[in-house]
Amino acid sequence: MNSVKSTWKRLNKALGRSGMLSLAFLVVVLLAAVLAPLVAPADPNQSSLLDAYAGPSGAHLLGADGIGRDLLSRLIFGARTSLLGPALIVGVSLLIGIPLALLASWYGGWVDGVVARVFDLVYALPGLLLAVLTVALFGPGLTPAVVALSIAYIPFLARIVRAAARQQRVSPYVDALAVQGFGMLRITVRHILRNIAPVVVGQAAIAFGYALLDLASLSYLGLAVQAPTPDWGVMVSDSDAMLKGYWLQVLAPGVLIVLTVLALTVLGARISGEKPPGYLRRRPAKAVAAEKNRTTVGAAA
Amino acid sequence: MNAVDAQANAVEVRGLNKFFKAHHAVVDVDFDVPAGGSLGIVGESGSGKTTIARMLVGLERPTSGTIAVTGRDRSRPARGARERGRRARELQIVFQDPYTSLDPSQSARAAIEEVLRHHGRDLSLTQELVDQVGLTERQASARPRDLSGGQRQRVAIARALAASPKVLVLDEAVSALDVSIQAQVLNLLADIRAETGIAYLLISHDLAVVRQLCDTVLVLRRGRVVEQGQCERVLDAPAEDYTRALREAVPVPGWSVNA
Repeated sequence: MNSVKSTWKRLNKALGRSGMLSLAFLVVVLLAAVLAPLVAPADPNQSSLLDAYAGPSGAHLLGADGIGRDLLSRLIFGARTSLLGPALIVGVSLLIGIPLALLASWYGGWVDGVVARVFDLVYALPGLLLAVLTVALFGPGLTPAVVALSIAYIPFLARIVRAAARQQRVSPYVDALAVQGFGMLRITVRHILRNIAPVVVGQAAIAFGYALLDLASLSYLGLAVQAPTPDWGVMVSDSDAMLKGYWLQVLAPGVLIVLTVLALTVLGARISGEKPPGYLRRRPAKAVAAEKNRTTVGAAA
Repeated sequence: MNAVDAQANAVEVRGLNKFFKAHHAVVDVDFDVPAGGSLGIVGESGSGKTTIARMLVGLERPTSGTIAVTGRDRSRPARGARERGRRARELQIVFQDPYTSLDPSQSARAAIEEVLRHHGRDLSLTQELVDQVGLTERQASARPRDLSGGQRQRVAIARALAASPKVLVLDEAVSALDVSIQAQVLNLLADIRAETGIAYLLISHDLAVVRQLCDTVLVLRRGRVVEQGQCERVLDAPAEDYTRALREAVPVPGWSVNA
């Protein structure tokens, strides 16, 4: 029990208020996605024309869409595809990007030069353009979109990993390990990677948010997830509902996308060790009291 | 080099040269460290001391010349894990900066155990090493950020000793520490040498430190050996002007900048 309490305390201290809120929100979204069949009130693809564009009610908490499908259930099931795609993109780009970045930072010289230029080259290609090209070649769907975005996201993650690893590489502790006879693989994986893990995880969380947004954009354009699969991006693209004034149909998934990306960005920044902006920081009571004291003393003098 | 020499000398360096592009950093350096002996290399910043240390441990490759430790040549990079391990058990190094020479995510105990395991030594030696360098139980379990400079340097010494080397290179190993801690670490190093018979190669700009720990000394200037010999002889009655100037640059009571 005690250890749970101390872990909670440490997490709270490391992430801060905004980080903890973001984490809580993401846990809820993730749980909803995993437990969708249990928590969704209805079948997301069950249509009933009698309920078309029904407003929020006991039967449909958030109302129903143009062909009478329960909006809340579609949002809950939509979390699955909306989160799975970015997870695949970030996973694949980390799997390829981390080894390349570690190799480049370890060997330096021309190896580093070549890897860094390739990263720069891919980084210069807009991810969405690459995805649109891939879709044009292989047809629309989640797989081509995920493959294209995975490639586009490699430099986004690997450039940060390379920079952080280079900083570790020149640390005397790495020299000390090499003198002890440890090999490159052992030092990079067991020591360097472990020390830069917060940066990698933080950057991955931020990339996840961007990937979600990119996939949603592609789905909105009809290039990634295809209707009738429930997906937040596809739901936002339901312009028919918007034109008819049923704004909740479009606003709800849009808000979910924005909140998820925001939570991931905030959480990522906190994990990387970035301080929250001043207006989000709670100042310790001691500092506030000290400042108050100072002004009193100044006034007396 | 015959077999008797190899037995007698822990380190033998002959005709060592190192170029960094056009800069000739180490020029025809020769020296020996006898088994169980202690050699100090002194010189001002940029004289090539650290470059020699880095070539000895294999972090830099000599441009020419030979380096032999316990009779085995190490002028070329090690080939394969077995060779790397063997070289590690011959010679170890303690770096200058105790703040960056330890993995920040590893406790002292974990760092020592990792080295012991790597060299196939008994993990029960961990406690012995922790005691030998004078760390408490609590310090041994702490991460480097929770230790002071002196404590960190003790951890670095224990980690180096975990490989059971015949030679320990101390690259300005006490210069980042304040004077009282310096004295403690120097005493510790003297005790360890008396106990284990390990040879030291001490690199320092501080003549007092060299005097306390070394039998012989080598004075280096712009990569060249200016003078070498027994510590008392070189430091008390230097034959070369440069050594005299180095000695006179040490502040003593009554010393002033204008003098």
